[in-house]
Amino acid sequence: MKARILFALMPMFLAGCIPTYTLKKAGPTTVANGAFTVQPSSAWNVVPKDVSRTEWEEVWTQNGPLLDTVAFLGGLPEGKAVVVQKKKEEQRVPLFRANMSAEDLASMVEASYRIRGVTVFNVESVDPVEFLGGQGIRVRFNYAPTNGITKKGDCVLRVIDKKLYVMKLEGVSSHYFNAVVPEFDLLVSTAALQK
Amino acid sequence: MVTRFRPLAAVLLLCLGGCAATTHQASDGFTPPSGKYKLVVMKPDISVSVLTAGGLNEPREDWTLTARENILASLKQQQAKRGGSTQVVFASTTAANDDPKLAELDRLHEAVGQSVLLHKYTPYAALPTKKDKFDWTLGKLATDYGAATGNDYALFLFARDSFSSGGRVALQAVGMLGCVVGVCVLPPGGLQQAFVSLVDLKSGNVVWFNHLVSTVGDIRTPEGADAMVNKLLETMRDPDAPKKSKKS
Amino acid sequence: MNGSRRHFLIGGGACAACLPSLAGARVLPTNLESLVDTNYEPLDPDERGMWQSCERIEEMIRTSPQRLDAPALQDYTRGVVERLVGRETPDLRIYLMRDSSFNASMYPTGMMIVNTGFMARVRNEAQYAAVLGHEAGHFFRKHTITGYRSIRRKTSTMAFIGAAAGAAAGYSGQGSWVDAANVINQALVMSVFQFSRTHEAEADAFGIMLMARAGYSTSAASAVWGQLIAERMASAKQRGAKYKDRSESAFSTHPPSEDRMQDLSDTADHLSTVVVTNATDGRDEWLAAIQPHRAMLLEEQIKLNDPGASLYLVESLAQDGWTGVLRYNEGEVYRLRNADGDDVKAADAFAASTALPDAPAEAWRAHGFALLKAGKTPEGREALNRYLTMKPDARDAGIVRYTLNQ
Repeated sequence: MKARILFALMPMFLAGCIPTYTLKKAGPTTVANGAFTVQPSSAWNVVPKDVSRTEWEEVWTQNGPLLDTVAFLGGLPEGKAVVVQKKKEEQRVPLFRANMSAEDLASMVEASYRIRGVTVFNVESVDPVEFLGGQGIRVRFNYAPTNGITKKGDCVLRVIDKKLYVMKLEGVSSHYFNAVVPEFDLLVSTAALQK
Repeated sequence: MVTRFRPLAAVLLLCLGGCAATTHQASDGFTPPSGKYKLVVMKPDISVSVLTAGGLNEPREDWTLTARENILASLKQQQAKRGGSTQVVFASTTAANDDPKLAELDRLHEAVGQSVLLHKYTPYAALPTKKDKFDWTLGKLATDYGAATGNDYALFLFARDSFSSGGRVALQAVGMLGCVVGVCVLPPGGLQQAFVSLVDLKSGNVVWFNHLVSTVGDIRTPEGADAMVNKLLETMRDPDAPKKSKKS
Repeated sequence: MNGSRRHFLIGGGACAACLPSLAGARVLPTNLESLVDTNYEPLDPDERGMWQSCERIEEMIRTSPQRLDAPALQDYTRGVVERLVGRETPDLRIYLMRDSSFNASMYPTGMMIVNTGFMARVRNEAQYAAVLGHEAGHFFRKHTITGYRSIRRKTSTMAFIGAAAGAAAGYSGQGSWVDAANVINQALVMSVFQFSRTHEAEADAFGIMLMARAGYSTSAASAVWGQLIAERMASAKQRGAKYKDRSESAFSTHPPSEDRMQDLSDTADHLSTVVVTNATDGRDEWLAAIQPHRAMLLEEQIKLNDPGASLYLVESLAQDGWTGVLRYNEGEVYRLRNADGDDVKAADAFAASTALPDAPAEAWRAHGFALLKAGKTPEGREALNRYLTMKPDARDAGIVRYTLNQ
C-alpha cells in the first residue's frame, strides 16, 4: 500500500512540472508578454497559467484567485477568443473583432461567463474610460457563480490598431472586490502601451 | 505570527503507520481568546460515515448526531475552561429560520476557508505575498454580525470521520492527485479530517486556522471527540509553543 | 467539468454504467402506486444519512443567489404538481432556480428543483407536467433509495468519479468549501442520483399515468424530448458537427434517448386507448403564467451564443407570430454569432423589432448600434436617443451618451 501511494506521489516530487505562484514586487512592470506596463503600489502574486487562459493573458491575485484576481490581456488579435474553448463546446464566446461596438464588447465579456455555467449575470454600468492613452469602455458587473459566492467585476477594454487590450478586476462581493478597487484604479491609470 | 507550512501529502506519507498530525496558522500578534468571551460555533459541519467496500462514503445519521453532540460538548467544556461561553448556530432546516446575512457570511467563509486550504496547506500553491503572514479576513460582514449578536468570536468547524468496512487502496492514489493540482482532499481510508477557523468578530479577521488529519480516533465517543477538539485547539492556548506534530 | 456544485442540481441523469440496457422493456403504468405519503420519514440508517446530506443541500439552495423569486410562478408550479399527484403537497418544497440548463430534479427529501432552462423550452402546461410528473415519479416510487442500494454493491466506479471530481474542482478553482473537502460525499450524491434505466422507464410510466389521470394530453411527454433532440440537432448542424445522443454520458444534463422517446410514445398510445377523453395541453394557462418571465428566459438562452439552438428556440416561439421581443432576440443571435452577413441579418431583425409595438428598449439600442455600424449615422443616433428616452436610467446610458457625443 505504501509503495502505491509513493508511486502516485512521484510526479509531485519531480519539481518544475508544477507551476507555482510567483512574486510581483511593487513598482513599474510589464505585463501580458510585455504588451503594456503598469505601476502597482504593492506586491502581488502571479497566478500560474491554466488551460482556459490564452497566451495573451496574465493574472495576478492578492488573496488567492477564489477571492480576487486582476487579469491583463495584451494585444489579442482579431478573430481570436478571449478564452480558450474546446472545439466541441456548443456555447461559444464571440470572437473579438476590431469593429465591435461598445455593446458587442460588453456582450463578449458577459458571454465569457455565461458559457462557463453562470446564469445570473448583471451588468451594472457601461461607461467610457481613459485607458492606455485613449478612450476605452468600462463594464462593471456582478454575477453568481455556481458555488453561490457572488462576485463583482470591473472590466476595462480598448481596441488599439485592431488589437484588444483588457484589464479586469474580479472579487468576491463581500469585502474582497472593494479591497482591491483602489489598487486596480491605480493600475488602470498607470497603464501604458509598450512601444 | 509564526506559521508553519507542512505539505499535507508528506504528512500523510508519514502517517501511514497510524498517527495524527495538525498544522496551524495564526495571524500576526494573535492572542487566544481570554477573559469572559462569547464564542459562537457557526453551522458545524460534522459527519461520520461508513466506508463501503465499493468505495462509497455513506453518511450515517446516528453516528453523525452522536459525533456532533460529543464534539460540541467537548468544545463548550474546553472553552469554558478558558473563560468563554459557547453557543451554537445550527444550519437552518426551514425557510422560516433562514438568515440571509448568516448564509452570506457562511458562504464567504467557505471561499476564505478554501483559499486557506489551497494556499497554506497545498504544495506549490503558496502565495509569495503571504509567505510569513496569515492575513485573511471576512471583513464587514463578520464585524456586523458580531455587533448584531454580541459575540466576540466565531468558530467554523468541519469534521469528517469514517470507518472502513473494507480495504481501499487504489483510490488513495487518485485522491492524492488532487493534492498535486491544488486541492488536497484526503480520500478517507478510515480517516479523520477536520478544519477549524476562528474569526475575531471585532476585526473580522481569521485569526486562527487549524487542520487535522488522523488515522486514529473515533469522534463518536466522548473521549474521541475530546481528543479531536484538543488536538485542533490545543496550540491555540499558547501561540509561542513550538509546533508539535504529534505522532501517536 | 465545471462547477461541481452545479451537479447537485442535476438529478435523474441516466446511468449507463450502472445496469445493462433495458431498451425494449416497457413498464405498464396502470399498476404503480405511490410509496410515499405526506408524513413520510425515513426509517433505516442508509436513508437517514442521505436525508441529512440533502438537508444541507436544501439550505444552500434556499439561500442561493440563483434562486428565482417568482411567487406566482411557484404557486402555478405547485398547482400543476398537485393536479398530477392528486393531493395537496405540504411535504414538497419547490425551488425555481436560474440555471440555463434543461433540468428539473427531485430529491428523496421532497425537494424539487425546477430550472429556468427547462421552463424556457416547454411550450404548454402538459409538457411542463410531463417532466414534473416524471420527477415526482422518482420521488413517489422512492427510486433514489433503491438505486443507491444497488449501486452500493458495485465496484468503486462512482468513488473514482468523486475523487477525480476533487481534482477537477481544485484545478478550476470553482468548487466550494463543502465540495473540496467532501469529495466522497459528492460522489455519493452523484451516485445516488444516477438513476438506472429501469427507474427512468418506471418514472416515465408513472409520469404518464399521472398525466392521463390529471387530464393532460399524454403525447406531451414524448413531445418535450422530441423538441430537445431537435434543438440539439439544430445546434450541431449550425456548428457543422454531428448530433450524438449523449444519454450515455454520466454527467450529461438529462438528455433524452431515442429509446426512451419510443417507450414514452408507446406508453402514451397505450394509455390513450384506456383513459383520456378531453385531454388538454393547457397552452393558454402556460403562456399566461410564463409571460412575465419570457424576456428573462430567452435572454438566458440567447446569451449562451449557441446559434443553432437559439434560432430553434426563437423560431418555435415565433410559430404563434413574431413579436418585438422575438425579433429582438433573433437579432441578438446574429449579432453574437457575427458570421459573414450576420451584421445585415441582425440589423434587419432589430429594425423589424422596433416596428412592432412590444419592442423592448434594448431593441432600439441594438438597432442604433447596427445602423451606426452600417454607416447610417443620423438614423443610428436617432435610434440611440430613442433608447435613452425609453430608458433614461439604463445601465449603459454612460457609453450610449458618450457614443452620441462623438
